[in-house]
Amino acid sequence: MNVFAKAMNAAASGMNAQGFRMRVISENVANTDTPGYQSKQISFENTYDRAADINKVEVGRMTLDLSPLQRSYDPAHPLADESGYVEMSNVNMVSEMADSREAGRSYEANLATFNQARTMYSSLLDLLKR
Amino acid sequence: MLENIKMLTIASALQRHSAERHSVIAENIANADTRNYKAKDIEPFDQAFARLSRAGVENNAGGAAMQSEWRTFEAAQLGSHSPNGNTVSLEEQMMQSIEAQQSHEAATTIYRKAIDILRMSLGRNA
Amino acid sequence: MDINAFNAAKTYGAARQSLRPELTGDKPSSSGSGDAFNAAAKAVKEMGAAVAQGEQAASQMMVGKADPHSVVEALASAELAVETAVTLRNKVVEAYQELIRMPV
Repeated sequence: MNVFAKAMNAAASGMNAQGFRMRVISENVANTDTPGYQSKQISFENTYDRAADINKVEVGRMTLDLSPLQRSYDPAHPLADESGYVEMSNVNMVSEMADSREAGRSYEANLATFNQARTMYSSLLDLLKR
Repeated sequence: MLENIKMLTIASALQRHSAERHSVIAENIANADTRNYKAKDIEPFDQAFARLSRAGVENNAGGAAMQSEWRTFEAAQLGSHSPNGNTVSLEEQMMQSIEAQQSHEAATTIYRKAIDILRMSLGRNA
Repeated sequence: MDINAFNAAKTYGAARQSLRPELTGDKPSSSGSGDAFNAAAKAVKEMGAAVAQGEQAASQMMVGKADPHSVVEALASAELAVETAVTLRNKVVEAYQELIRMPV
């Protein structure tokens, strides 16, 4: 595999991973008001792709956030317990938003390197044109 | 035939070097959020070129030694350790990737110019 | 280099032969008016090698095996070699025609 393809492959794996992260974040945000929802968390792992000779990034195991669920007082809620509290999700909106910003930023960085590799390749091939 | 022209040899070595460096940087950026990932870099072109041309002279291979034998190492990143052990600084990597792209562009332009000059010596308009 | 029409015709024949890669030996050097033809023959040989290299690199790249830098270098080298050979051939032909038109 040639150098440019390697760079583009690595960047593509990065975009893939960040895209997946964004998906998980939006699932979490969408389920903020779902009673009993535990927010999902993912981590990235660095894997060596032997065939392509590059260090790709892959999404590791997905884990659930085991921190206690938020309890809110709402006796009218169908899922309320005897004392009138409902267990809502444990999604932390602030950290989800921060995470989504970071995912977007990393995605853009990967996209930029992808485009750079493409430009470099085409400028190299331009040598053969007159 | 063109291996004997030093300008072309250097330009082509620089092209290979910056392409290789760019792909290392692409890996760093892809792994910008990976736990315990250490940012990598490639040895600077002047050092690599000196080493390879020494090797080329010893092996009597001339420019043939310039086939992407670049050493990769863990880059010393200044003050950018995140709590998860990752040492990639996205901004720094963006800067470096642009550097790599620019030196590739420069090498390509020099290569093209050298070819144009040779063609001009044949007595036609390049 | 002795200049007479007969010699020119002879060397032109030798040059024609030397422009066919399969016949390119070291023959032209023995045919008297050496230097220019040696140079031409050498250019032709180099052209043959460079074109073969370019061809090989290009075909390897098209099946996704070669490094694009080597391909570009090989093809640029082939192009230049062919141009050199063609220029030399044109010069030889030109010289021959000039000699042919010379009033004896």
